[in-house]
Amino acid sequence: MARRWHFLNVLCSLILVNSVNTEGERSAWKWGCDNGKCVKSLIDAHSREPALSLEACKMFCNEYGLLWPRPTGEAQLGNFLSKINLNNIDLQIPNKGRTDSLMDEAGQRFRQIVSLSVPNGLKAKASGKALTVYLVNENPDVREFSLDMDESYTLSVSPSSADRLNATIVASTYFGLRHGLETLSQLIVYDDIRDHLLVVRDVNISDKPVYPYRGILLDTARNYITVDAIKSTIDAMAAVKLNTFHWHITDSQSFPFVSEREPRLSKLGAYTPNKVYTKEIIKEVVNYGLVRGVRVLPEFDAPAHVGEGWQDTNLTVCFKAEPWASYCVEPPCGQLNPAREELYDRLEHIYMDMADAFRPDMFHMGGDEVSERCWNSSEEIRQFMVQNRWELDKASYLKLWNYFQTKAQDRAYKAFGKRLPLVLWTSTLTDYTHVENFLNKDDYIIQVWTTGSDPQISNLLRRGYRLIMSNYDALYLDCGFGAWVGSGNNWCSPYIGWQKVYDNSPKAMAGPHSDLILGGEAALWTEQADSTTLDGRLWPRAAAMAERLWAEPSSDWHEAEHRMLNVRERLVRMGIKSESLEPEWCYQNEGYCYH
Amino acid sequence: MNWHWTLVFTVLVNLAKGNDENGVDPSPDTYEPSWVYKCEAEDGCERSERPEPTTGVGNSSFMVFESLDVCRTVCGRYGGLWPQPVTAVLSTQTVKIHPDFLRFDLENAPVETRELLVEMTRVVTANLLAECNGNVTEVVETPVTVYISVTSPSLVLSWDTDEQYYLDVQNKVDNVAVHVSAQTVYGARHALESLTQLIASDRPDYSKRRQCGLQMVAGAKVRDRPVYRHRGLVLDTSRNFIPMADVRRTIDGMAATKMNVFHWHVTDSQSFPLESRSVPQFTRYGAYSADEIYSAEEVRELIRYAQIRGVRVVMEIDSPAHAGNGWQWGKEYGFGDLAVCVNARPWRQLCIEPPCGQLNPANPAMYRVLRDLYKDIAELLPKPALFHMGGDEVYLGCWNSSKEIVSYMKTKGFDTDVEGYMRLWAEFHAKALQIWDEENGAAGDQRQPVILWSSELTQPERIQSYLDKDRYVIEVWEPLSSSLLNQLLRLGYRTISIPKDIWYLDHGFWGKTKYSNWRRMYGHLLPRDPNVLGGEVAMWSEYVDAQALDTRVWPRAAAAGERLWSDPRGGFAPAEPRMQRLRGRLRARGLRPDVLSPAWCAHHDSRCL
Repeated sequence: MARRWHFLNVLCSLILVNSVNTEGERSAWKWGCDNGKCVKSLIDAHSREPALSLEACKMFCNEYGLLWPRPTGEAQLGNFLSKINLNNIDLQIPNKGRTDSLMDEAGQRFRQIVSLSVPNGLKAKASGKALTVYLVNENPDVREFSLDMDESYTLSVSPSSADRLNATIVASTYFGLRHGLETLSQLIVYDDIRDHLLVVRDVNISDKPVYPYRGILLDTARNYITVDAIKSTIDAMAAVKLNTFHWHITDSQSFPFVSEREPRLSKLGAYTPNKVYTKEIIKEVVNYGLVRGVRVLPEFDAPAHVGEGWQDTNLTVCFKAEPWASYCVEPPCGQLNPAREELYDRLEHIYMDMADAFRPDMFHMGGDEVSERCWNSSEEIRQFMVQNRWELDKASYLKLWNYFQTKAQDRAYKAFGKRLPLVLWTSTLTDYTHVENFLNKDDYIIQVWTTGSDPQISNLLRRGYRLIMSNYDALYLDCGFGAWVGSGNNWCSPYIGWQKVYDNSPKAMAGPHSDLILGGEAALWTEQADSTTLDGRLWPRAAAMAERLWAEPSSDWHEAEHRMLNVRERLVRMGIKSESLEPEWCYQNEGYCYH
Repeated sequence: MNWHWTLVFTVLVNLAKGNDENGVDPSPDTYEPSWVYKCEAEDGCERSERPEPTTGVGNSSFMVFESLDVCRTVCGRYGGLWPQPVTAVLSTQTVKIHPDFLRFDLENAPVETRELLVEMTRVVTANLLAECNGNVTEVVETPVTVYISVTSPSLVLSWDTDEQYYLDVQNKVDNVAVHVSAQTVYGARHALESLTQLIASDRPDYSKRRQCGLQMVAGAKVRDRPVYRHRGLVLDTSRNFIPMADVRRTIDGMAATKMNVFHWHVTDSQSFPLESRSVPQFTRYGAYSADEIYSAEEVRELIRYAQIRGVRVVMEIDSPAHAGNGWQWGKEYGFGDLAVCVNARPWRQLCIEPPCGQLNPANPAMYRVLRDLYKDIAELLPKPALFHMGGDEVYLGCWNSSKEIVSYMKTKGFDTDVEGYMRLWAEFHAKALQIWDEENGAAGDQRQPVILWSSELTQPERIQSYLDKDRYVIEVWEPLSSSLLNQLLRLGYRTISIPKDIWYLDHGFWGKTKYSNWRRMYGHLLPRDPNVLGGEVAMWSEYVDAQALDTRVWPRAAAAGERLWSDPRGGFAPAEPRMQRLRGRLRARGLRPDVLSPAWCAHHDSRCL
């Protein structure tokens, strides 16, 4: 697999069609690949040695070039870079079908990303070879997400004549094809020594993800997130081949989802009239995701994590109860009242509106952090328990919760018109000792948010439950900041560095049952983030998870570090305000910054 | 032209209101009934339990408001002021104003100060417009005249600058008179900042209406002065480059919180982005790229930009350690090694973090290059110049790895043990200070003290042998548990406090460091001693560049800002509503402050404690 460097001289004579003009040179520095690391040195006007720009060097100096996530199959990247002309890129789509409009948009995105590789204020020379990209979609009518959709693709690049290159992407679905285009865009770099776009000339890649579910959760209830910020999050997800945007759209603090059947919920529950998501807006986001291969998965968290918006329904209990710590995990408290039959009609309305807006292939029902003390504080609920001949103990409140969940499940199937896969958070209900009494493993996928070493994981797997990993010790990206209730730092501190995110391997956690792991998801709860700070919390750490879930590499972050620094720069160029991982000096001097 | 438009617009608004009163459905974009905020004595601004009938556009009835910002501006003893002033008497009534009818009267300010004052008033106008997102649509013609009275003609910004001010707002029958009086223009600037903070947008929170008006506290008397004279923020622009626009925005934030020292850690061993006209090699060899350079002209503009905002720029050229890239060209130019162990590997023994590098004190050419650099800086800095020489984290092993330095030690008769290297280190600082004195003197300044970081050299048992307490101010970055600060005070040194475990903004993202939230930063008390000049918060940039800068720095730096300005006795709880208001203000002014809590908490003061 290791690429050979003695071709380097040939390569350089190839890219050095014009000798480097040292007068008025923008950059004083060039890079050369030495033992798998790019080494910085001064450009010497008299030297016949070719000068590589930093990114061109990185493209050669690493087994996987600048690809992120790294491919899982064959990955042959030749040792030649060819100059290409940004204005002379042609996309050919032989097979037509229901995905035609998606293909057009994917092509536009590809062109845009390629043009972004030219730094602001510079202009690539309009010379170099023409590039023809053949996009061969074997099933051009498939445009539906599912857990078993085929995301594989192959990509090859080769010269077709002296002044033309061909790139061919073959995939069995639009989703695979789109990934191939992302990969191709990552094979193009800008050479700031010569002001030219370069592409790797001889490429053979075959690639597919290890896990089918690769997600980011965004909470838009604790603080509202603008639609533009959501879209740019989806843009960044697409760049690293994540495929699920899990939208935690409501919570007890606010209710920004506009339910046309229950309009009072957002009317009373939105922070302001502007801070809502209407059906039109959601459809726009869903389509935006579809173009980018990202499913938009709605969550309606219940029966806990509700409050604002339900004021005039009389269907909640302990809303804004004080002292809050007795009835919920954070203020304001609130839980649905499962004893009220009317509740289930209202839920069905919400689900129907979600079906209209999202048309989802899966649905998340929340189900975390239910407080029995909250329910127990309601006289009406206690009476309901007694009528059902239940005690008022822990086991009985689980029965009540299950009563709620079963009815909600029926209503969900009814509203969505199909028995779609349902997701629930790990909770006391999903405890492996009794989960089988409540939740059918064929109906429910469990999303794990406890630590990666929680014995629940192996025990749930042993019982055949499918899992999505969001273990908070590695994938909660809100950790490490100051507490917002109380003093000290927030509950899941410390801050999780990208290295830990990268090394968080579902396979290692699953042991013999890794086929039951659908994938993983990084979560951004927004108690302490909003549109202004979103990017920095998510990126580039979510990209570290993206490679883990796509490739599940046997190596750890050390192997990925040089590429990781580059993917961060790529995200910044896309307008994503990503955190900086290291001094820029480390990016320019590979191999010096180590522990 | 504008006036006609205004007239038409006003009429339309009146018609719309008329419709409301006639029972016609209000705009569907408005909540009716709507949430309102109530100012409650103990709890601050609370959102109403249920939607209530609105009181009409902008007309808030007594202590009930449609705009949270207006509620915050009048609620509580200090309203929306940050930092908390010494005394404030604020009316709970507001009066609607418009920036077009705001006039500044400079009759009582010395001629020498007027140009600067005019610039300062422009900032006021821009900040007021920002409250309404650039467009104050609700036009009222009430004249607001701000009479600025300044005693001193001096424009000097230094530790001795008198920053106190008095601000008086009186709402007369058909006009508003504001009196600002201060000893210096900088005191007047602080008054103007406070004045801005007595004004908020009255745009109802539960409406999509685009109208936006400004409400000003109808009567106010504010008497104010800082507790500490040095209220600073360190920004490292070497580990990662920070573009000038982002530096300027950081200074905007400082101005909003009356912080007055921008400590610019402009170079380090990683990169040298500061252009030196005399030594172009610094940036040619040391800048990350041709785009990541501060030109002398840009620096000059920044210093002026900061001055208009009452902020003094302190340049730090860290030495003799934390210097490497930018100094590695000596041999090529026949100067020998200007720095040693530059980019050396393995780095662990030779520096605190890669890349290593320390100036070569055995090479006289190094001092000649240093002189050229100091000359350029002395010409840039306003007088009296405040210069920071760094002086932290010198690795003796680095010097000891150089044959040239070891043999220089022998000729000087220094032992090659710890104390010998301390003498070498101290000799460096003595020579550097002498060069600075000469170059700064040549640029027209008196002898000025310089700042050094605390280090082994500033240990109580050593410092007196090497560093004159009249010439050096020590910036103490030891953790809170250290007694160094108090020991240095006992020895008579002037100090600046910057405990790394509390006031370092980069902590919490690497190693075992812990993130300090604003409440913790707020809780740090400095000794009340005339030799404690003040404190700083530090934004080291290993893990930060322009992308994440704002969210790391703001609003947490403001917590230190209030600690240094007001040193309030109460804890963070009473400050929290004002902090929320400040965060909104920073955001309006184009910064991207981090989020303190769910927005729900901001709507319910004191419910998330």
